[in-house]
Amino acid sequence: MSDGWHYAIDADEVEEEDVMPAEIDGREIAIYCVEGEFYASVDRCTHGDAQLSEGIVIDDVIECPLHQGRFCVRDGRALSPPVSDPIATFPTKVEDGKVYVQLSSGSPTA
Amino acid sequence: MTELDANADLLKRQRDIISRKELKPFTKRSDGPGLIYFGGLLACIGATGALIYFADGTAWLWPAMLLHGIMLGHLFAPLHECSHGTAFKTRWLNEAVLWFCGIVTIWTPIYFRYDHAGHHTYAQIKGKDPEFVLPSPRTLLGYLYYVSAVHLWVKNFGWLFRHAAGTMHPFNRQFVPDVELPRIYFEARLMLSIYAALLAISVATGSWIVAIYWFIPTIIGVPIARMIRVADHTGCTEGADLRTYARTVTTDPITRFFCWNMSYHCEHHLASSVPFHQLRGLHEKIGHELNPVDKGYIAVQWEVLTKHLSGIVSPKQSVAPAE
Repeated sequence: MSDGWHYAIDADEVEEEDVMPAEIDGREIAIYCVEGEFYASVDRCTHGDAQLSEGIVIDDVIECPLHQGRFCVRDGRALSPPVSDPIATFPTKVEDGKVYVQLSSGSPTA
Repeated sequence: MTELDANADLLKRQRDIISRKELKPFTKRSDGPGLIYFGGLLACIGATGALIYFADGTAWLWPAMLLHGIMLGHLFAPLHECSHGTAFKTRWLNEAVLWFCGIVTIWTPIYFRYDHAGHHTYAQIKGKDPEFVLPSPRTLLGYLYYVSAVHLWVKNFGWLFRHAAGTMHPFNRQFVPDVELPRIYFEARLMLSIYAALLAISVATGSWIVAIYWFIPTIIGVPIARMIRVADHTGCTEGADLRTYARTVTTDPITRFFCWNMSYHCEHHLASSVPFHQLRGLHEKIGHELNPVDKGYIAVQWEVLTKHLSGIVSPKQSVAPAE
């Protein structure tokens, strides 16, 4: 797919208010589903380097499994200690039941 | 091992015991249990405060203050749970209770979050765990120093005054990113201002209310909460072993209520995203793989005193193996 869009995961693999890991060109990406919308971010916490796809999603927040640092999945903002740096997020779209993530055109959104 | 390596290793070891899919139902948050536990603890604090009121001027004042202080000391339990963000689903409620408990118990809440994250990363690793309780070789004097809470006040007031002065101990500094330092220094200044205002009002009005309902009970009552903390890890494996570096103490429902289920300490360290009210369920699922001790907190204190001390003032050569 052009413009830096990459297939990430089938939409039905990500349950509502949940997160799943995906690997795109060797990059670890976390795919979130919140209120039927899909979001994507790097799959690493900026505090302790844990995989965010191992964490839990509460509303539009991903909570790191290790120290409960919280990020907004919509824009990557760090919401509460012990995290202070945001996570990089990426545009997503769904076509034919498949989630695509745009990685290469421009920089991440956070 | 770097902090990043330690964190990755911790998660891997967690997955060896329970899968994310199995764990997920236990991570569900709600407000109800936290409100019941916190409301119940506040009611107990209110009741023991009333005992002080009625005992004032009698020989029962000091026993009443001791009982009240024991209740106040248990505010560490919601402080700890709120520091993980797991006490309540509603975020502002979590933060409000965190700050209330931090101010009452004299723990700086923002810094504690970083310190405690370091504890979960490096639990039981000597020289790295910021909350290592009585590493071996341990002595009776060291035990008394810890349980009396002298060490606690040295540490907590050290944090308060040092951070208020705009500095941080190099050991503590490793857990805090640069961007958070101003907030941590501000919280210390804010808390000291509150305490200074209470002192000034008490002196100006000649009132003993703050002293007998809060400060003196807090100082004399906190050893009970310290003894519960001794049971969490002391004498367990000193190394990164999720199964054995903590101790789950089988105890009665009243004690579990006051410590907010931290008796399930192995389970808490296995998955700190599990709220306190789900720890019993997690224990029933995987507790047999961990380090349960079926004897209660008093017996664990006795075990520490009789098996895990290696001297009175200075350590002897041999140390009893940990259970």
